[in-house]
Amino acid sequence: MNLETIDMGSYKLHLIKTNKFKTITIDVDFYREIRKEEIIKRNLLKMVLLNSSKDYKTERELIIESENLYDIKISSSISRIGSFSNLSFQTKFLNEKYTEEEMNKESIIFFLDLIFNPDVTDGSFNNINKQKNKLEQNIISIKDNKIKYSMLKLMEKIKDKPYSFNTFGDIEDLKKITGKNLYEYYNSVLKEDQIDIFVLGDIDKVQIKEIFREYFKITTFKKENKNLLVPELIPRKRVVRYKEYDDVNQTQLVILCSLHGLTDYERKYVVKLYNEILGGSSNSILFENVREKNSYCYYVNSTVKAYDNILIINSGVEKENIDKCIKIIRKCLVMTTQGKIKDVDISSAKETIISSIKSSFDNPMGIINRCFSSVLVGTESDEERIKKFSNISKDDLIKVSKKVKVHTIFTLEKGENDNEEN
Amino acid sequence: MKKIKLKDIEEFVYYEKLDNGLEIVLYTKDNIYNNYVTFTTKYGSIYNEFVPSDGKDMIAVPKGIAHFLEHKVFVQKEDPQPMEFFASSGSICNAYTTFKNTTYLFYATNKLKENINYLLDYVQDLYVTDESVEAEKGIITEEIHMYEDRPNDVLFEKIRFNTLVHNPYRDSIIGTCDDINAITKEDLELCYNTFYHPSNMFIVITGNFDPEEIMSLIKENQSKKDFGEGKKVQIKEFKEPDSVFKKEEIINVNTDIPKVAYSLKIPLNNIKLSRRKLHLYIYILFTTLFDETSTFDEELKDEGIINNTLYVSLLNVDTHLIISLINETEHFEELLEKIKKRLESLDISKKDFTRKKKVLISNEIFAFESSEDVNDILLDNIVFDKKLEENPIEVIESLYYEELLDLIKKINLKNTTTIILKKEKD
Repeated sequence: MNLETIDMGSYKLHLIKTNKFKTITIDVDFYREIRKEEIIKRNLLKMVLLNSSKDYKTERELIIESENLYDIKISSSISRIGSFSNLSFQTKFLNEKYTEEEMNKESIIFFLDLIFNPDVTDGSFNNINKQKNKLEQNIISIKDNKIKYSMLKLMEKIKDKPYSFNTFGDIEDLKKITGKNLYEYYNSVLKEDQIDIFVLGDIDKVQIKEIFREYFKITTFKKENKNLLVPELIPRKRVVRYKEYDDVNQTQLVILCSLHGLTDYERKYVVKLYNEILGGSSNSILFENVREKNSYCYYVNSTVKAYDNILIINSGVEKENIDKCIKIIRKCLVMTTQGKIKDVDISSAKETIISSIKSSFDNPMGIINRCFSSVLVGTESDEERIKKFSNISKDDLIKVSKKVKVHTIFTLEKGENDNEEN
Repeated sequence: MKKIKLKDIEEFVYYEKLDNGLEIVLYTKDNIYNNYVTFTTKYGSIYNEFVPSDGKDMIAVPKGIAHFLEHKVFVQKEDPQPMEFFASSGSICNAYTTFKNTTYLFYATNKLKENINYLLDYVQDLYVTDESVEAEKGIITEEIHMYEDRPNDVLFEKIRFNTLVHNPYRDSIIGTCDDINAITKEDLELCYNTFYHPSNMFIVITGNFDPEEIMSLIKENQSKKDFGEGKKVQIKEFKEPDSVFKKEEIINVNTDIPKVAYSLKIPLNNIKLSRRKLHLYIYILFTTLFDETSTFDEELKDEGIINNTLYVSLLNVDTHLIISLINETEHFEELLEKIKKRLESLDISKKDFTRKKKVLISNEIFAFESSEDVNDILLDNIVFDKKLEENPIEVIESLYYEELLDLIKKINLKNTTTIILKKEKD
């Protein structure tokens, strides 16, 4: 496998040539610093662009054509990377070796046309109402997933931080969007967002470069900004606990921990290993203590968002066990600061992380994500990363564990619908 | 060891059946890192009345045992426990239970041989105590509560419950809290001894390894163990009527947008197609009728009746095929009317048929890009078709428009169930 990065002026084109796959995968990333009121526009834009185009006026025509193109897969997503919002368009299609000659080019043009050739009249998107209704329904439906919903509610309590924004955006902001102001926003995305493009597969690099030069129609120069780190939370003297009540069978528990004073090395390596040991798997300290020893839950996990400076613990428990469960979780956190971490668990967690680095190379998006993250935060080579993870000591872990502080606790419990804070 | 070439896909599969009855399927691919190993017993939630291996008479056991066993097989008398063992080489292990099988699995980038030996050893040894059975009840109860809080899971449970009458597919895989509380250590041991004999099991390994070496490793592992004679487990037969248990039900759940399922219970006794072909034809027909390429979808979205495309779910319960059309919308009544009207005359154009065939062939090639997907396909072959499919593309190519038209004439759409999930009005 080899990677070549070409500076195309207004964007970077990363070509990854490999014969491992029968498909070609392309990922186009538009990203900028997140602004709360723009999230909804980005979400709507990702839907509107993939729903029709100048050549295919309806979703039906568009999907029929994509099926004719050997079922080319096209998708879009919005994600947050630290303080950036990333609007990403992806496609995956069969390499023409398995279909017909010239299909690689035809597929890429079809894909890029959706981004650059939208269904617009007089500077205004046509027919955005259906997509608006769909987006509204998606936002309302989050509540069906109690885990996601509880996380979201907890995050909302932390005002102003990028992770407190609903990833779909707010319904109130949605109402203000028109075909016209969405088109204006679309133009600003093309002009102002930083852009990285990844093309992976058994490709002819010269051909790909030419296709993009001709069909990827952006020429504005952008200022590079890679500062995605979210500022730390101010530590709390007393943990704040929020309770929300609803008609649920199982109480959802989410604990937000703030991270303080991580070094770059700790952020890239130690805190990831720490999280893996704490609650990253079914061999973790939390799983062992909350589930296996006490039977309080079916699942308990921890997730670290190193560039947000936070760590989240979540579980689903019986209402009457909730306080006992919080106590055990806090005890687990204290245990780690006292160095009560088994050496065998440290080496297992290292192996797990190393294994996941290696296996990410078995799928196209795994490789692309690795390349993208090295574009953003300039990570070392994979050999170097594996070595660094292997060399983390117990003292490193203890040091990091002392930088983890419980900040806010949220529970969604069975009961009448009103909320409290204490 | 038999080497089988999968036609058109240019990939190879190795197969062997050992003396103790265990089947082994291997698939290798160069230049990948991950290996995916699944060890499966053809025992799932639908086998609750059977003749146990050491008896002569048909017995009935509480529901939910297959899944309960899945949890308990994970416990070993001596440390390390499976989670720790696999984690020590950075491997990830897991297990799941379905209607017809229970599968133990792991992913590994190294120590493949040690891990395979360990997988065989821990699954082929059960250690349960009365205390550990009781402790597990708390965990499984929380798992049940988790599903109860997910409206879509509730909907899928209800579809089977209301379409079926006697068919064991009717009950939930995990069981109810009452079922779980009734389960004893003896029940678990009895089911384990009956269904975990190697002759009822198989292993599928997909990844980057030497097939000869792995095959002899498994043989050696098995040659050291004595499982006694394996006999085919006799399962209680049941008669399932064509009519549904309940034609319509409105269930109050905590959800802001109503969910609706319209299910068709189609008898299979007059249909003489292979399971795979039948599913492919039905997939082509129902996607053409209802997916984004249909005028149905376009019209309903234009009229604001739906925002999302209908989801088509297929479940083959041996006696019948249950096809469910699922969506969430405030306008579920209009949606139901439209669906019923659309189903009054089933049709498909030759052009649509040909395009959908192309989609199916493309997707078959897409699947062979991931060794996990390949493992799933091979596993599915053995559980459901009882043999490996040596020519997956050809099966699709040999679908004929006329045969589908013929099938359309035979399928009986008379038996239906409607389920609506919505918030109780204050």
